[in-house]
Order: sequence, then C-alpha cells, then structure tokens
Amino acid sequence: MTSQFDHFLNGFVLASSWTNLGFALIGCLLGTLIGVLPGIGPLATISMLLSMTVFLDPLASLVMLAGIYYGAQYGGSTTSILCNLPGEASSVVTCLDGHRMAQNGRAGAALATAALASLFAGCVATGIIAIAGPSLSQFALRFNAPEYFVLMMLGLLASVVFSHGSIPKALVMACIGIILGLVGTDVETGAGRYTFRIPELSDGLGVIGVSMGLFGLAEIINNLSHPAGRVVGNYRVGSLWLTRQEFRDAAPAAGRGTLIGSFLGVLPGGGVVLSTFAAYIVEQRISKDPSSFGKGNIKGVAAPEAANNAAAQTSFIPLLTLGIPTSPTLALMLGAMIMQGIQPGPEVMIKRPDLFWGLIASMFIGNVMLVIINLPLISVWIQLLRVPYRILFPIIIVMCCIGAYSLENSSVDLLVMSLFAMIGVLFVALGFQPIPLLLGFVLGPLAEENLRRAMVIADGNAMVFLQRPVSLVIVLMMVAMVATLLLPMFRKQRDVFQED
Amino acid sequence: MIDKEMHERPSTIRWDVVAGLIVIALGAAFLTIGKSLRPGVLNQMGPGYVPQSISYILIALGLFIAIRGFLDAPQVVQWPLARPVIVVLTCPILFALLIGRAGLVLTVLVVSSVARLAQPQKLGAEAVIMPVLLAIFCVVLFSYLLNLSIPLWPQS
Repeated sequence: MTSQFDHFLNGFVLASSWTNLGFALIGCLLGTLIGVLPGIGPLATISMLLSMTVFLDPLASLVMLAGIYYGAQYGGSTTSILCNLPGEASSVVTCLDGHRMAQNGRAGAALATAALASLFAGCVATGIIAIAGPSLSQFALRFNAPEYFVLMMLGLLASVVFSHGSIPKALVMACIGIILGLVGTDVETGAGRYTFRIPELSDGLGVIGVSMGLFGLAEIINNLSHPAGRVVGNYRVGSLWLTRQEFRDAAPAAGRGTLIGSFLGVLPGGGVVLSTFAAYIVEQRISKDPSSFGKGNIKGVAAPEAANNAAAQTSFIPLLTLGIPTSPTLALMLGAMIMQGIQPGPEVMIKRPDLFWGLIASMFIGNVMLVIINLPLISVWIQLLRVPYRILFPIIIVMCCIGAYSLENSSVDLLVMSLFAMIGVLFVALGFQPIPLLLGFVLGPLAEENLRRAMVIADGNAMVFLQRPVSLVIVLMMVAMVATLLLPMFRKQRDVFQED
Repeated sequence: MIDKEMHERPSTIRWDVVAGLIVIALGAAFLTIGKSLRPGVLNQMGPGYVPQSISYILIALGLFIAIRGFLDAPQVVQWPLARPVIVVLTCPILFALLIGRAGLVLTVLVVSSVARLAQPQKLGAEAVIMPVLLAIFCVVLFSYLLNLSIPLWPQS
C-alpha cells in the first residue's frame, strides 16, 4: 500500500510539471470550447482533438486527453442547462431541472451546482480507480486469451444492445467495423489484408480519420440537411453562489449520485447514461415532495450530474485494467493510447506505473482545473453558444482535414475520412447506427488476436470459453444481455440509452 | 419493389430491402477481395479466417434485413440534401490535392471558402474575413504551437 501511495505521489509530481499542467489547461479549454459549440457532439469533439495529442509524449497526451474528455462533458451540461439541448444522452436528465432553474433566473446556481457536483463525484470516483485499479489488475493478470476474447465480445455486444434502432442493423455495423479494423498487415502472418497494395494502408485505417469522418463530417451533413432550431434562452446567469438551503439540498444529492454513478459506470454499454436516470429517479423517490422535480429542483441537477461524472470516471476501470472500452468515447481514448504505443491492460500498471498513476493524477487535475477555469468563464461560453452554425461548420471541416492530414502527412487519411463520412451519412439514413462500427473497429483486431491465441492454446476446442470459470461468467453475462432484448419492457426503454 | 399505390409521399420504396441488399453486396465484396487470404483451420487460424467468417455473417444478416424489410410496411428514409453531401465530401479530397503543392495558408483559404458552399451563403464581408481569420488561427495553432511539419507556402 505504501508503494502504491508512492506511485500515486510520483504520478502527481509527473503530471503537475508546468508543461503537463499547461496541456491539461489547453485540453480543458478546447474540450469545453468545442463541447459548448452548437451542433458538435462529444464524439466529433474528441475525435477532432485527438489528432492534436498524437504529437505529444505519452504522459502529456494522456493529460491533455483527460482534459478534453472532461471539458467536452462539461460543455454538454452547460448547453443542457442554458438551451435545453443535451449535447449527449448523459445530460438529457440535467435538462429537466437545470433548464427550469435557468428559466427561474437561477442559471448561475444550476451551472455552479453541475460543476461542483461533477468535481466532487470526479474526485471520489478517481479515488475509487486508484484503490480498485491495482487489485483488479492483479486479478486480470491471470486472464488469458479466452477471457480477453469473451470480454471483448461482451463490450461489442453491449454496444449493439444499447445502440438504438434495429439489432440486426447494429450487428451489421459491428461486423463492418471488425473487417475495417482488420485492414492492414496481419500481425501473425504478415499477409496484407484489404490493403489493395497501397503502402499507407498496410498499417491499417487510422481510428482518428475513421471517427472524424463517421461522426464529425457526417454530423455536419446531417445538421445542414435537417436544421434544428437552436434557441439560446436569454437568461441572466445571475449569482453563481448557492444559497445555504440550496447547498444543503444539493450536497447529499450529489453524494448519492456519486455512489450510484460509481457503481453503474463500470458496466459495459449504457452505464453512464443509465446512472443519470437512476440517480434522478432515486432522488425523486426519496424526496418528500416528488412533484417539485421537473420544476427546477436543485437536487435534480446535482444528483444526475454527479452520477454522470462518477460513472464517466469509473468507466475507465475496465479500460485501464483490462483494455476494454465500454463506450464509444472510451473506444476513441483506447485508439489514442494505442497510437501512443500504450496498450492499456494489466501490464501497463506493472511495466509503466508512471503512466497509470500519471493518468490518475491528471484526472484529479483535470477535474479541479475545469471548475477553476470554467466558472469564471461562463459568460464567455454563453457568448459561444450564439455563434451561428454557418460560421462554425467550415471551421470544423478545415480542422478535421488538417487533423487527418497531420497524422502521417499523407492524403490517404483524408480520403479515408471522406469515405467514412459517406458511409456515415448513407448508413445513418438507412437506419444503421455508427457507434457499433466504431467499437467493432477498435475491438475487432484485438479480439481476433485473442481468439487465435485462445484457439491455439485450446487446440481448436471452442468449448474452452465455457470451461474456464471467468470466461464462463462473462459468457453468461452475454446470454443475459441477449435475453433482456426479448423482454418487451426493456425494448421500449432501450431507445433512451443511445450513446454515452 | 416500388409499391403501386402512391400516398402523399412518393417514397414507398421498401428501403430495408435496399439496405439488406447493400449489406449482402458488402459481404460478397469482402469475400471476393479477401479470397486470396488463407483461412487456415480453427486451431491455426490464417489471415482469412475471421474476415471470411464475418463476411458470411454479413451476408446472412443482409438476407434477414432484406426479408424482414419486404414483409414490413415500407420504410421512410430521411435522405440528406445533395448539396452538403457533395461539398462536405469534396473538401477532404480538395485538401489532399492542394496541401502538398500550395501549402497550409492557401489550402485553408480555398477549402474553407469551398466548405461555406455547403449551405447557401450571402455574399459579404464574412466570405473574406472568415477564411482569413481561420487561416491565421490554423498557422498559429498548428505551425507555431503544435509544430507540425506542414509547409506554410507553396513549394517550388
């Protein structure tokens, strides 16, 4: 335990060098900036900014990524409070009471509650990662290829089950994602797969180009084709300070939200989104006056915001200890880490403790920095909300282009981006959701590698997945997940949890 | 495949059948392109094992979607407008063509001006100011802050 604490302190020392603090600051600012801009979702934001972190050293890039991740999330709650527009599914619940608070002239208090509840939840959940991470990694070290393969299948299945729309179509997208993920030189045999003898394709398609096309450019096309009215309420932000009564209401709600979020965040699929709904419903149930919810009750802001942030934080646990992303955003983070030469998993904690603890420390730093820089800047963000889309979208297009080109200084990434924008637009119009494609793309090659290894170990016996206890448990979880699909009640609710 | 009875909307095409056929075609294409990849056997998988299995799964899923689409009522599809599709998809290609020769500054000026065409825009000062400001911003961010090795000006 002492050595862990040493590592933790060491992580802090590494992450809080001036350069790294600077990158955390830039990450938070950029993340919030693009997060609050109208018409750019969190996936587009993160994929666009990922391309800027590639040039940094691994720790600096992790620090900046963490800042971007929190910033983009924080931007989402700002827009849901001020414009009743959730940037992502996880801030849908915040709209209910947050926007009403803004209409009641307490926008400042709602924003401050969201920020402080997130800060509290973020710190607690980061503490949970720091405590649970190492022991989970120890446990995961005993995992072998079969366990990893079924875990990856679980993550992929979750993205299919929790995507909204038709299940066969989501499966199609996951399959396409896997095949596209396999493009490039086969690691074991050196055979080029789907490379068309283009040298640039021998390293495979880049996750950044793929996701910028799929989410960034496709989003622009859809926004321009089906314009949605986005009205910024002309509310006075008012005082940022909470009254004593508001604080007394919000603090325990934030605590309960943190607990709920920390638990649910670890689940694959819709954990983050689910936690916000769960936290809100719990608050409403235990409240003496349930009818005040939806009318600007501060608990209805504090609890889901805390749950959201806690879950977003603990969802890093499966990524860091097992290398399994549980949401599309985390799949992008995994892609970025792999580009840095870090393959998240139990080995990282043993071979590169500086990276693991540096990331933990940067999570703390990112959370704190977000509150420090953002509360005073709220009026700036509100101004940004008024920037018209006709000015924004050409900027996004150019930034995506530079981002894609700068990765390898090659035109191939640009063509890939354009191609994926087309796939995104065409398939979305036909009712296919792009998120399973992204998860298949990231998880596919890893899953194949582990499947091959598992089959070599078991000498081609496919029953191996049922014979090992851990993998049997995971297979049973997958069966349970498919079984829930057959329950009509769940099917109706599934549409709500579309993305993290 | 087009229904005879026309409602107020002319689109009574069973789009899920089309979608299913596209998926089948994709699966078949992956199979054909990956034909030369050796599948190997289960305990010693070759490079083609997973891609080919997935291709067959795709074909099966495509069949399922097409058949179900045929049995269900016609599906409504919200197609995007042609103008943003064409302009937005062209921008990266234009960027790819220009960047090697014209350098960052000119490329950003041209691509951002073209990108504006994705939407009907009024002519005005904005048409000049926006690309110029963006070009300055990109030079500062990518060239000075992130130190990317993209030439700023045309290379002789």
